[in-house]
This record gives sequence, structure tokens and C-alpha cells, in this order.
Amino acid sequence: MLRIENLLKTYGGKTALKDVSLEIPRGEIIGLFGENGAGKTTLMKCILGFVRYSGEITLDGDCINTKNIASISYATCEHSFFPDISATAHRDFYEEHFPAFNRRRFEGLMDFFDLPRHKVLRTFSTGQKNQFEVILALSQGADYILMDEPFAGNDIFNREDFYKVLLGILEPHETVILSTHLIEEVSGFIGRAILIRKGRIIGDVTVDELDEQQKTLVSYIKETYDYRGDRVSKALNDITGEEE
Amino acid sequence: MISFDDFIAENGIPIYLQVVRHIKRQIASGTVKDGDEMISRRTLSALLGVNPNTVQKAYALLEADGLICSHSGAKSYVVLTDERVERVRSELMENEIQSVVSSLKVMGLDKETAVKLIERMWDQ
Amino acid sequence: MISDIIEKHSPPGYSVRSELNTLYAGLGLSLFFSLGFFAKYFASLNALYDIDEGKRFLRENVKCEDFADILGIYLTGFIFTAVVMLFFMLARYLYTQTASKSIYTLRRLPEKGIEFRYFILMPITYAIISLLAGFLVLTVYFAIYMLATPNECITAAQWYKIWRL
Repeated sequence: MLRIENLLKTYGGKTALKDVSLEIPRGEIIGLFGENGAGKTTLMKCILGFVRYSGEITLDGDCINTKNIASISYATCEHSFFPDISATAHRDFYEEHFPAFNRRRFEGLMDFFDLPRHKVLRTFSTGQKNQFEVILALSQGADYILMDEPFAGNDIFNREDFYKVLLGILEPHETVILSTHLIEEVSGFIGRAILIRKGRIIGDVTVDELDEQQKTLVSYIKETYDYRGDRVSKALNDITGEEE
Repeated sequence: MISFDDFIAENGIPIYLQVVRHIKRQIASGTVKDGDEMISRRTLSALLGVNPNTVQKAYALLEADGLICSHSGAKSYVVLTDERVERVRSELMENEIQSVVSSLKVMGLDKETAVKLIERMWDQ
Repeated sequence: MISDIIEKHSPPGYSVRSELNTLYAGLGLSLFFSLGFFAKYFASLNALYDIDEGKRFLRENVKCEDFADILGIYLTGFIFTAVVMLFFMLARYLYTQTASKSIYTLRRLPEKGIEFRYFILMPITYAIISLLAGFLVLTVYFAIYMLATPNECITAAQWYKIWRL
């Protein structure tokens, strides 16, 4: 269980996250939604210990440090691979440092996405870079797989392929936290949605709960975000000066 | 054999119920037979692009209905008797007719007109 | 061989070659610059003698210039090289920040002190090597001074005076 309690993060007086408390068990596929700058990336960076924060983040009751950090992996649109070594060299590096590295999964995904094994990462296309970033995160042998906008620059077919592979390979003890703008695309397969706005959690719901309330994820998100459907027509009226 | 080739998710109905309905329809139509192996939960989840828990929920429901049987969490098989097939078939039909009836009611039709309408459509 | 060892203590893919080239060049130039010591030393040595009718005489009661004064700044090249090598800490760090943020991966590694190992250890080692090389040159030059200078011209506490700066 990954537990976040009363997380507070400020950047030079500006509040990036406030009152964030979450419990994240193993075996969930979670969508993390919010506008740009809402705090999605900051939340992940806090979990990984990249930034200082106040509050408490624990994994199975322990603080996150070198002893248990291997159970958390991270794929980011900023890319965290090494630009000047090949895919195979990455595999060897990961294998050396992460004892639970899943070589079989790595090779399988490399084949599936048909990525070059001996070219340095710098020469990959953006789409290939994203795929490789995700492959590493999935192969590390982590129980918690954090993905921050992993598909910026991939086309839809590519993404759909990825979703299906993801669903097919995940083990029951693996949790994926997927931060994305592509709500409708992932709404079919996530099991839980966490909504974040201006640094606060404004919604946290499981798909089961939504099923019971007979709501769809998209309608729930629009509702929670106080999305005003008449916004567009109003704006058009204002712009064109038309009155009813 | 169970096939999900023609499965198309509809909006507004929980996916797990759609999965259950899809399998029940195949049972009713006779394309799925006693002893058929179910697609593994993981494969079905990937195939449909839905959460593994959703598939699990559907399978649990089918299991509770006595239509499938899981061996130690691994493979699941369809278990059918004539009586069960009959039950599934009538349940599905009742559901379909129920939804037609309620939408006709919403449109303000009375029973007599509705029956006449159905008779006319039937003969077409 | 050497570069294999260094690569083990560097972020994967980081170009170790340029570091080694800089170190070698720095040591070479420092050594070359230090040779200026001999020019100054031989001048001091010559000043101890008088030439009379084609013969050299050691002047009476003359003292040779102190080793430290002759040495002057001739070994600063090694110190300069050491300082330059320390800047590779920054280069290493920047490597993990540009083109991709591999710093994220390094920070997630389940090992303690990975930043020290990848960013700090080698540049400090280079700096120490450069300082040791400078020290080695110092002792050699000192030995030459002590052996080649006539004993009666050497004032006391030469070794001590080096550190008096």
C-alpha cells in the first residue's frame, strides 16, 4: 500500500500541492487527471522523493528510500533514459541495479513495438522514445508504475496498442498510475480516477462506484470540474455579438 | 466457442454487464456449448481494452449464476445443462421485451395498440 | 582499461574520453611549464660562482637562493589542472539533464551515494592525481636542488620553507 498523508508542497511561496491524502493499494489501474500545472507531475515527484515536501509518504508503512524505491518505477514525457546508450545497454544497466528486472517482459515489449536494440536512444523518433521509456518502467519489476503523460507525440493506433498490451501483461500485484489528458481514451480500462485541481484532490472514485451511480467517467469528471456545457455557446455569443 | 469479435461496447451500460450479456447471448443462441473454455481474464481484458477487474466482475457474476466454473483460479469452463440454457434464454428475452415495453410506455402507447403493432411488425 | 573503470563510476553513456584527454593535456602542460624551474635554478646556481681566468670558483660565503623562491609558480599548473578537473562534476551533472532527464533514473536507483559515485568521485580523483603529480615533481626537483647545489650554499630548513607561503 502506498499511502500519502497531508502532503504539502510549496515552490517559493506558491502552493503546488495541499492536503493531499491518498491510499493506493497494489493491483489498480489509476488515471490521474487534471489541467496542466494542477500538480500531477509534482505529486509523482514527491512520491519518488525528487523534491522536498511536508507530510508523509510511505510504502507498506516505510518511508521511501533506497531500500524500497525499486518497487516504484517512473516513465515521464521528459524521458529518463540515457541518451547516448542503446536499448540493450539500458537493459543491462537496469538488470544490474534492479534485482526484480523482468527481462522477458522487456524483450517481449521490444519485439512488440519493434524498437531497434543497438541504436543509441538519441536517434529514436519521439514516439519510439516514449515507447522505450514506458518499456523500461514496465520492466523494472516495480509494483507501482508511475507514468506521467507518457504518450505525448504518439499516434492513436500506437496508444491503443499500448493500452491493450498493458492490460494483457499487468500482474495482479502491479499498480499503474497514469497521468494523462486523454481521459476518454483511458476511461474504458482504468479502475479508479483521481482528479487534481490547483494542487488539491477534488475527486477520487472507482469505476465500480461510478457504475453504481450509473455515471460515466467523463460525465463525472465534467461534473467534478464544474464544467459548464453552456460555456462554448456563451463564448460564441460574446464573440459574435449575437443575441438570442 | 466464445467469440468477442462482434462485441461493441455501448455507452451508459457498465462494461461488465455487457460482457455478461454478450456471453449469455451466445449461450442462448447455442454458439457456446457445455465444456467450452472461457477466454482467460487477462486476454479478454486486453482484447476489449477494459480493466482486468471489470472482466473479473463479469466472470464472478457468471460463476455465481452457475454458468461457468473456474478451476483453482486458472482456466474457466462453461458448464451448461438444458435447463440452464433455457433459463438464460428466457431471461434475455424478458429483458429485451421489458426494455421495448418500457419505451413504448414512455411514448404513451396502450397495451392493445402495442400488441397490434407488434403483430404487424412480426408479419412483415 | 582505465576508461572501463572510470565508466563504471560515470553516468551511462557519458563521454569519459574527453575527461581523460583534458587530464592528460593538463598534466603534460603543467609538467612543461614546471621545466621553467630549471632555467631559474641554473641561473641561481651560476650566480654562486665567479669565473677567473677561465676557471669557475665558488664564491665565498655565498648562499644559494631558497628552493621555494626558485620554484615560485612553476608548479601551479598542477593546481590549475586540479581545479579544472573539478568542473567535470558540473559536466557530469549536466549530462543527466540535457537531451533527457536521466537524473530521474539515477535518483531512483536503489543504492546509496549514487550521486557521489557518478558525479563527484571521478573528478575528485582526477584532481587528486593532478595534485599528486605536482607533489611528485616537487620532490624530484627538491632532490635535484639538494644534490646539485653545493652543500655549504644551502641554508637550513629548505623543505620547511616550501610550505611557508
